[in-house]
Amino acid sequence: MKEELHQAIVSGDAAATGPLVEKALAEGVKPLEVVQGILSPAMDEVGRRFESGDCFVPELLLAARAMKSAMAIIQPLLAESGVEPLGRVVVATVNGDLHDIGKNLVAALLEGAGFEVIDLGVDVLPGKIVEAVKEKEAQVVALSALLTTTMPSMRTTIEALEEAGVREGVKVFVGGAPITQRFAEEIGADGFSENAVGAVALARGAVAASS
Amino acid sequence: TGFLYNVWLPRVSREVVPIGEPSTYRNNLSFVKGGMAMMEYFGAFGTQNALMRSESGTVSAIAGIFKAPFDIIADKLRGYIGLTMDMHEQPDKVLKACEALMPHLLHVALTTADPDKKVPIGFWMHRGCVPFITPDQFASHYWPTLKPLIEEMWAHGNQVLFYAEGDWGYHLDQFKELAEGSIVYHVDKGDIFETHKKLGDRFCLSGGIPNVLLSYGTPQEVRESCKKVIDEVAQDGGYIMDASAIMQNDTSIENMKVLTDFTREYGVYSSGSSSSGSQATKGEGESGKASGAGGNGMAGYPEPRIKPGICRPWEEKVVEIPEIRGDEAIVRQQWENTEALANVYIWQCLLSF
Repeated sequence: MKEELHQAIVSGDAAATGPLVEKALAEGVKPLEVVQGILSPAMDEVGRRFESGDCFVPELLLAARAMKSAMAIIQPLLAESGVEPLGRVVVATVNGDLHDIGKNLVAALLEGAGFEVIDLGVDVLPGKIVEAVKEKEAQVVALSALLTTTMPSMRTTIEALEEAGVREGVKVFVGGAPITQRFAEEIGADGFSENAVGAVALARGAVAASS
Repeated sequence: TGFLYNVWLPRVSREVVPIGEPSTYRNNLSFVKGGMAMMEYFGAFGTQNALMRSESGTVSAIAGIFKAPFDIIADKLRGYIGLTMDMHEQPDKVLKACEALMPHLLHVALTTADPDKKVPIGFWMHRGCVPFITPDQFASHYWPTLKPLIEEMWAHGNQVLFYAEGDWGYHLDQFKELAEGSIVYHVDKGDIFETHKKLGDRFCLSGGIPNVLLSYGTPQEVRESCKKVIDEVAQDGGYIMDASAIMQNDTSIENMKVLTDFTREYGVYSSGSSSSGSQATKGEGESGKASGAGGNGMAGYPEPRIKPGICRPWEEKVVEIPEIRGDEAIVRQQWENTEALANVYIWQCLLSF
């Protein structure tokens, strides 16, 4: 059954996932164990396959969708028993930019890895990001921009975090087609990733370092 | 076309009433406003192109618009996520949908192309590449419904500018299947040096100067980037200097001046350039077919029920009107000319806006 559930996630079979999760819970597997023992490793495998060129964005999306149907069942149970997520990540496409596929992929993979994701959507003003960081006590901020004209909003967002006095408490990661390591360094971000899978690694690193 | 007007447009428009429901003032206004605004918009291109020519000595780089059937479905009909799910759940239907689009997209491309066939048709390649789709999906859906159209356009003497946004490096070998000189290949985030190695002997290349550099780099960095590309890609001819992607208003004007001045100064071929024109002229008439790696274009594809370029066929109209005593062909021509206006409207809504 564990293997079946693992396979359902990896192969992106959302329809099969729900019933298999129910079965696991019925057999006495704890919700947290389902996430840490089966679901997250499955998503990690998908991420590894993506990085090695064995699978592609469609498979990532399908796996994330299967993951979501699993989490729809698990999440309330975790909340009930007071289990804390691995970390809290505020995810947003910056002010002026409407692109969201990459951001959505990052959000989905982060959830799959056990993070609580606060997805603010697209065209998000710096102030809103600061607010979310404060309110949710997030440890990570993940920003996306796809246009050279909206890249500066990443800088202003980091500045807003500084002004609000919360910059020290978060790690800020940036990504998107025009983003480079050099740009990330220039604006004072803590890291940059070329793809969604790398974003999860950065988030994990951030949480591990702060704990 | 009927589907686009009756199903698609009402779904995406806030003003258009779904077919069968009572019409509204706003619905009627939307068509007149949309149609006339569109004509104003396209009309402005003529003036602007003339200005560019007379004031800047610059030719418009492309004429006509084209997108791959698979990209149209993702971009305008199902959304990228929607299409990903469709490919998972109903790939056969997706293929049929791509095939249905083919003759119409071809028609738009051919009827909007440069009448002199001097500049290529603009082909916006959006997200039909690995990793956004899988290699299998490219092979089963994207390429087979695209390649015949490119071949057909070439058979008509039109080059196509493959404006490959993002990185299409995975597919260069497949593009080699196209006839020599039948396309101009534009590089955005792909590796222009690798691309040159693979395609440089077959197609003219363009692009490869990063937009981030043009917006945020120093003039010296821009100069160095242009020099590297010219040195490695342009020596044997067949390279058009261009930014990697569409330039927005944050592009540094100083950097653009550096790019153009440097290219004009450094990018001069020492021998006469007239011979490099032969690649483009190969497209004229039958020689297009002769120069290539074959390809049957649209041969063998079934004709759509209603021919592309009109909405309602003459056969339907003629029975509604009194008997024509004069030359029916003239009346038919007028009918089809005005039908074409309505056809242009909806297909341009799909392709250009």
